[in-house]
Amino acid sequence: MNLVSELIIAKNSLVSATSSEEGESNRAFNEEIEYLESVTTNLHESVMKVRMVPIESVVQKFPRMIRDLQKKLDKKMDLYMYGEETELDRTVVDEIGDPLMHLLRNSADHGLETNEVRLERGKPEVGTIILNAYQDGNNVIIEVKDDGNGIDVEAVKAKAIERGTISPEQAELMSDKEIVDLLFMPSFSTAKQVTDVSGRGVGLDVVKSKIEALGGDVSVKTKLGEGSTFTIRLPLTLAIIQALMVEVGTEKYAIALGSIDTIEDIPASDIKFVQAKEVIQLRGNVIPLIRLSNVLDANSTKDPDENLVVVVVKKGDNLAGLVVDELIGQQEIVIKSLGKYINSSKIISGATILGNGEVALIVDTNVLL
Amino acid sequence: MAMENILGTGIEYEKVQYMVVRLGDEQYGIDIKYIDNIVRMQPITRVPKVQNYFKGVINLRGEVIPVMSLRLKMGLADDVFTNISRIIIIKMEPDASIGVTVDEVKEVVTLDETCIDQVAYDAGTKDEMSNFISGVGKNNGSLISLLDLGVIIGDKDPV
Repeated sequence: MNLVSELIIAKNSLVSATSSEEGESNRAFNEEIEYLESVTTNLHESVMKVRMVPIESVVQKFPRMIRDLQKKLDKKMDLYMYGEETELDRTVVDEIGDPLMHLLRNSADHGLETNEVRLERGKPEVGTIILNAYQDGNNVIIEVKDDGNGIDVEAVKAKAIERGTISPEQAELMSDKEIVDLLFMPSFSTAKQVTDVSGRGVGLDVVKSKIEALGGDVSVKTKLGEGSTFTIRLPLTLAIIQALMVEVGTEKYAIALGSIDTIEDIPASDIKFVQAKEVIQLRGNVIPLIRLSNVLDANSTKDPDENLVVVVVKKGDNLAGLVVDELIGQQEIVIKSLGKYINSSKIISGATILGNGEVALIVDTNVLL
Repeated sequence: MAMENILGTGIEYEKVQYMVVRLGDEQYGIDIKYIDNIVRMQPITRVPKVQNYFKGVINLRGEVIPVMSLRLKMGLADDVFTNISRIIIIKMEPDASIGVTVDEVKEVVTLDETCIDQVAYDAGTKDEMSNFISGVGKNNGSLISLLDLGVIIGDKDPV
């Protein structure tokens, strides 16, 4: 795997070396380089394919676990699994077992009501948990859905205030979604009783940090009385991605192509303000603008009256427009870690080495949205 | 570690080799067993929103390595890079390298225990600097502050 990365870096240097000296004589040379480029891309794809394994190996133990939980919790429930054949990088598959198991236990224990309560509420007696995996662009989505009680936002709020995580005034201002996100804070449990199944308070935060360590993220949607859905989003590949190179000030940054929706050229006069924040209107959508130069503490070299280059990025249904100074182009990049010593903020997910030996940083747009 | 007894005194001292570097007017010693490499100054890619003493990252033969400024870490004035400035690549654990910038790399000295004085801490007045130093070495009349690398690069301050 590392050798493929090295090969791609070497290829990128060749590409940038040839593009710097244009001439009739090295036409044949250029063709060969292009050929080399397609060979390395194919080689990379083949290597990736070999590394991909279906998540089946991890999820096949879950039905058994749910049957055991049924007895232990004295609740009737069914587990339905879809998309077991979805493939992920082997290193990721090895790691997602525990977080998934945790989410399933959560659903079984806190999510689903007891059979009596379910009947009272007019729900089918047997609770349902659905594990669904599918590929979405460069990501793999795994959902854990239950038709249980859902998350009681008021209970979470009360608990957060009691624990001093937030003040009552803050709680007033927070949206339901922000409240629910508190569940991912360390040692936060709303279970009234600690059982040996779950509720020990180490939980969702561990799930979250594990998933984030794999370069993914986890979110939750819930409706009281109807159930909740935990969604895990994981990157398909870890090491090599297609990226758009952009310039902010004098610095170069890479944005993963998979997260880019469109690229727009917007006149500066089209910027509108909503709640003192810059937004643009694009095909009927209002999209918040994020100036990368501000986020990255870089000095934009562009004249403010010029047209803006806006890279519209998406995360699920959310869109945001990133304002950059220049576009450089698309490139295959090898993701390198910044090392354990540097406490980089989450915006920078890693670095890559460009053809000329320069280091460019990779912007994780998921954090900005 | 049993070392060859050169002095013939019958007492064996442990000898440690230190790389002597200069920061401003002072000399500092870095235990040579942690030094992986010394490279010339090269373009450093700034990384936004990190600890202020990190200069950024460099590309060292295909690896991305973070570079910290020893001066900023120790609370001295910011670096002014010259022709003799160097980046010392330190590897305390496998797979985790870090570069530190110094004004100049001078020489390698061998010090045995008798030449090293422990810094006298006074718990009350313990200033930041003395935390980074494990001892003071004497070499031909000059003093070398021996850096405690574990403290310098080990801890993770909040940004």
